[in-house]
Amino acid sequence: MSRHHLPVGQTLTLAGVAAGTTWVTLLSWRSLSVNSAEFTTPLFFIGALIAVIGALSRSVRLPALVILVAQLVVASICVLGTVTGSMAPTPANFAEFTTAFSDGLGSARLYVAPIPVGVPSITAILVTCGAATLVAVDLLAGTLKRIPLAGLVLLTSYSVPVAITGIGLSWWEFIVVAAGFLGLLYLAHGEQVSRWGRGMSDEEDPDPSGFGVRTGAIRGSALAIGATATTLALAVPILIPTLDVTLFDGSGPGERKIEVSDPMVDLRRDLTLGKDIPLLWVNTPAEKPSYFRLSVLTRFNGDTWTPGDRDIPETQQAVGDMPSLLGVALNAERAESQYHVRVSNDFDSTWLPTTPQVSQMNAPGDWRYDTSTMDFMTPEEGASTAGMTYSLTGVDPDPDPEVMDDSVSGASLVRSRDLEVPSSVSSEIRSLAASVTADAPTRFRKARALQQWFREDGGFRYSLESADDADQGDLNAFLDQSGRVGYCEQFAASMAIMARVLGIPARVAVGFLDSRSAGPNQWEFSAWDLHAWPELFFPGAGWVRFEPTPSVRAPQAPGYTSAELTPDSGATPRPSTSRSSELLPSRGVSPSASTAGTSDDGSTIPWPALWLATAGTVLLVVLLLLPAFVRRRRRERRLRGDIEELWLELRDHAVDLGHGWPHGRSPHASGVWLGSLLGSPTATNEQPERPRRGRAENPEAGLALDRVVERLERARYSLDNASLDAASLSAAHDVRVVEAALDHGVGPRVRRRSRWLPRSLRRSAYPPAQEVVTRTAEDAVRN
Amino acid sequence: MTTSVSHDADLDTLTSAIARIRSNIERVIEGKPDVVSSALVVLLAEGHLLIEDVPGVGKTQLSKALAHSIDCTVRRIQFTPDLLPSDVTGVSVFNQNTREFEFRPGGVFANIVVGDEINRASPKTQSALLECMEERQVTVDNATYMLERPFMVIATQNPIEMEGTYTLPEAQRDRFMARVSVGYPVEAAEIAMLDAHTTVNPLDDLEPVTDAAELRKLFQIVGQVHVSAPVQRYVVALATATRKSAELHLGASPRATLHLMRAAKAMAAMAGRDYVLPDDIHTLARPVLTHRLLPSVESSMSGRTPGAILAGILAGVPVPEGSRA
Repeated sequence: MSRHHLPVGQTLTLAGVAAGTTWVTLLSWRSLSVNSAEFTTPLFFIGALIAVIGALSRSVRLPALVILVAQLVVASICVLGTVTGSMAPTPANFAEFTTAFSDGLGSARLYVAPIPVGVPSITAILVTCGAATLVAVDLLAGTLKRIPLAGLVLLTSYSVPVAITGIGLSWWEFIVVAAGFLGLLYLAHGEQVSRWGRGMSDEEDPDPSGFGVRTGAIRGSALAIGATATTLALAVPILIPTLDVTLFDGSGPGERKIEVSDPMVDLRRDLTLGKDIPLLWVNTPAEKPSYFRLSVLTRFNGDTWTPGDRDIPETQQAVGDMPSLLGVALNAERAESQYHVRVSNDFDSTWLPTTPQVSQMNAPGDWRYDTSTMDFMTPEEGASTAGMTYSLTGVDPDPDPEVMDDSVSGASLVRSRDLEVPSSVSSEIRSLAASVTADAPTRFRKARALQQWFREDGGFRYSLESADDADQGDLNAFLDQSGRVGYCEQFAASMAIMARVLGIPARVAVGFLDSRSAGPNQWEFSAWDLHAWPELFFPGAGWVRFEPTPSVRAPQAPGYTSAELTPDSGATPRPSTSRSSELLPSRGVSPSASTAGTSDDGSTIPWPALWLATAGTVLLVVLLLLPAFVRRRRRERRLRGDIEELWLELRDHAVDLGHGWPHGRSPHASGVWLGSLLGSPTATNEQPERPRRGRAENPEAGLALDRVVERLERARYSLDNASLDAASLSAAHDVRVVEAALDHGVGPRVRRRSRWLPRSLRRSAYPPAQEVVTRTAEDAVRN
Repeated sequence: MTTSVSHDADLDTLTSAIARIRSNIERVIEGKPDVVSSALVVLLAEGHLLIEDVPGVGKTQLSKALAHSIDCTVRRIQFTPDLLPSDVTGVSVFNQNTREFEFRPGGVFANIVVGDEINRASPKTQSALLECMEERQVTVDNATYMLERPFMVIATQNPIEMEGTYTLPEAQRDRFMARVSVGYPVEAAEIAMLDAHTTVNPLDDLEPVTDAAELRKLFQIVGQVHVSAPVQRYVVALATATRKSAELHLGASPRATLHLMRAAKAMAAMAGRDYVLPDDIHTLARPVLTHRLLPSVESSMSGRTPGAILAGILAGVPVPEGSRA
């Protein structure tokens, strides 16, 4: 190797493998954006460029800092070019890039991954982060030769999207990444060792395809490290509960927080009015409207649900297109309908009644919406809905129960307050939530179990009697075996808080339950229709309505809450996603809640996955132990056999230890050769990798070997071989002695390998005669 | 079992006799145990020995030492270009007194014939000797005279490149069981030789340690040595390999196979074994076969000697393994 120049091929290979592995790892980010080619393609070329720069500059031994700066400059220019379309580093371009980047951040806050088409793209963020990852990996793996650290970077870049979306790499991509990582280790170690000089291996022929060094040891350590890292890569995303990324919880400029009046009070009052008053009329070509929502209660203060804070800047006027539905998959089924609403003069509310999901809104006056709750309120003092008319386009999504059943935790997609459980929530409620849903394996099934329990199994009774009770907020009393009498508010409140205890984002919606016909396409909601129901969040389906109030009041539960589910969909983990992460409690839950909500019973332990893992481990162990077992059986059988069997055993033992058995030699010649491999047990405990060996090292074994050889010669070539069988017992002993001496003639590593991965089990362990011939013929001529 | 025991006893007699002869010879030829072994093997196998080397390394000493160690008739024939065939075989001479032709035996009528510098004689004379070697009889004027056992010819010759030599034709080389080269002594042996040989000739002190009768008994013991089928296959495989080798113009003859097997039996007996090992064949292949092989033109041009070619063949022919291998 030249002192000043490294071979370009070598550095190029290392850099290429590093960049390729990183790029495949970055493919896991595809789940973050619908239009993934927008960032994977440029990253491919950026990666290639970085690799070439790194390899060339390393081969001429430039300082690490210079390489890093060069790569950073080139990567920055490329990223700029990708995002803005021009590589020129002008202020205008920078401004454009900054805008694209912050727009992307905005999208990331607003939308569930994958970020849909039609909103500001997050490509700028992904390309920037991807380029940074590529530079980091090249720096660590190529320049600094810290492969395990590079693996950590890869692991991180792989874990983030998996944690957010639950969608990881497909199995072949994972294998490519793992293989690439192992390749990196192999290459880097090979390079390192070749700097130490040639190995003096005589127990193994140098691998012609390797670097002419003891690649066996490198292979061993590379495999050990690689296996550990791969196991980590598999285990970490499974074991860590889905991350709660607070990045998606920011707030923009111009905010104005206001405390709003409590719709619960209206609800209670209106429900118990002496007579039913019509409150609003809805004109729609669609079928009978129901579940018209007034407001959403997001905060539970330990006693009762309140609307919580709203973030309603002036830009969020209830006019025109509304933001796309939070957490609803783009391909989910939906039906849109036009609604014209006329509010009675009697209905004095600061909240606009709308369908729960709205895609378009046209309300006169200063009505604003909050992006997370999507309810509409006015910030103006004294303004109300009385006598208002407005129109809206309502969306009636039809959530797919299978999607919800398969969905991962939505904790990272909603604001953390949607999971807050105050510490004052009693442990009775927590354990009740756990026990009611103990048999349900997934979050969605737990939610269904809760609803079923409230509606039928729990022995609840619907009654408005308690509506004006002062201590109506006492959920403990309501849920207690002796209580269990209440009206919609208590049902909704109880189910919502129990869902939060179970790690499902939940809130309480207040609105109108059902309408009556008031003419063609005209429907009327009245005071007695006021209702409360819980909404639970499932990624892919968004906020989904449940109906815990018994059928006396709410006859129909939503269809998806009773639809048949694929029986095993909750039990079989999908191959590439960290399926079991959804079964674990979310970190979004406050500590007190998570301890009580999930650890009180064992229902959240992913038994199927555990069983599968155990079975896989057992299978793996069996497979690993199989060669040793087969070899041992064969050895025992042969040690009981005649001298030819014993000789075969001796041959296989030598082959196991990595000695190439000379083919076609006489017993005597083979014996002489074996004699040169004998070793003796060392007096001290140290086990040298390369023990001294030869007949002189262990004369006793040498004599035993001679006896074995002579017996074999007699058996094969002598006339009177009848008397030999009696002696085979001592011959077996001799064979054992020789084998032990052969064991002492190799290092502990080779000895272990011979025990667990005996080479003699492979046919190819015995080279064809021709191979030996050429070698010995040359030796003979030379001698 | 008794035959085995008696056979073992026979083998003991053989090994002790051979040990005596060996120590006798080694008093004269020092530091050359391999050469001595080969000579003894040929003696026991009833073959003839060709010693080929440059002058002055002890060819004649070796042959004389061997001859003197055995109490039997020994004749020495110095081959020269003017030596006549009748000098070797003998001649019928008219006896004036008896008025009859009377046979005067030539140089071959002895138990051990030392033919010195055999390749200096004319081919006619050489072939006269070689006929006796093969037939173990002499025919002169329609009368056939049997030669007494043991009959061993120990011929020495100079390498063919030396001046005034006639190459032995391959047919005649084939009649020698083995060819050995004495070679230069190692340094220590040469110093020892200076000490011992400058004052007296050690040959003069050699006393016979065995006789013709015992030798005949030893021949019988050698004949009883067992040759197993795998070993036979090995010998034939080796011979076949020499015949098929592209590097050789002429391979080993069937006589060569026979000689190799007989020599191997002798060697096994010398080692105290009553069975032949492949290793015996392997060891003896070089002295027994090399002088019979004729390299092809290509290998001669590329400097490959018959010895190197044979080494390649030996390495290439696998020893038949056990039936279950």
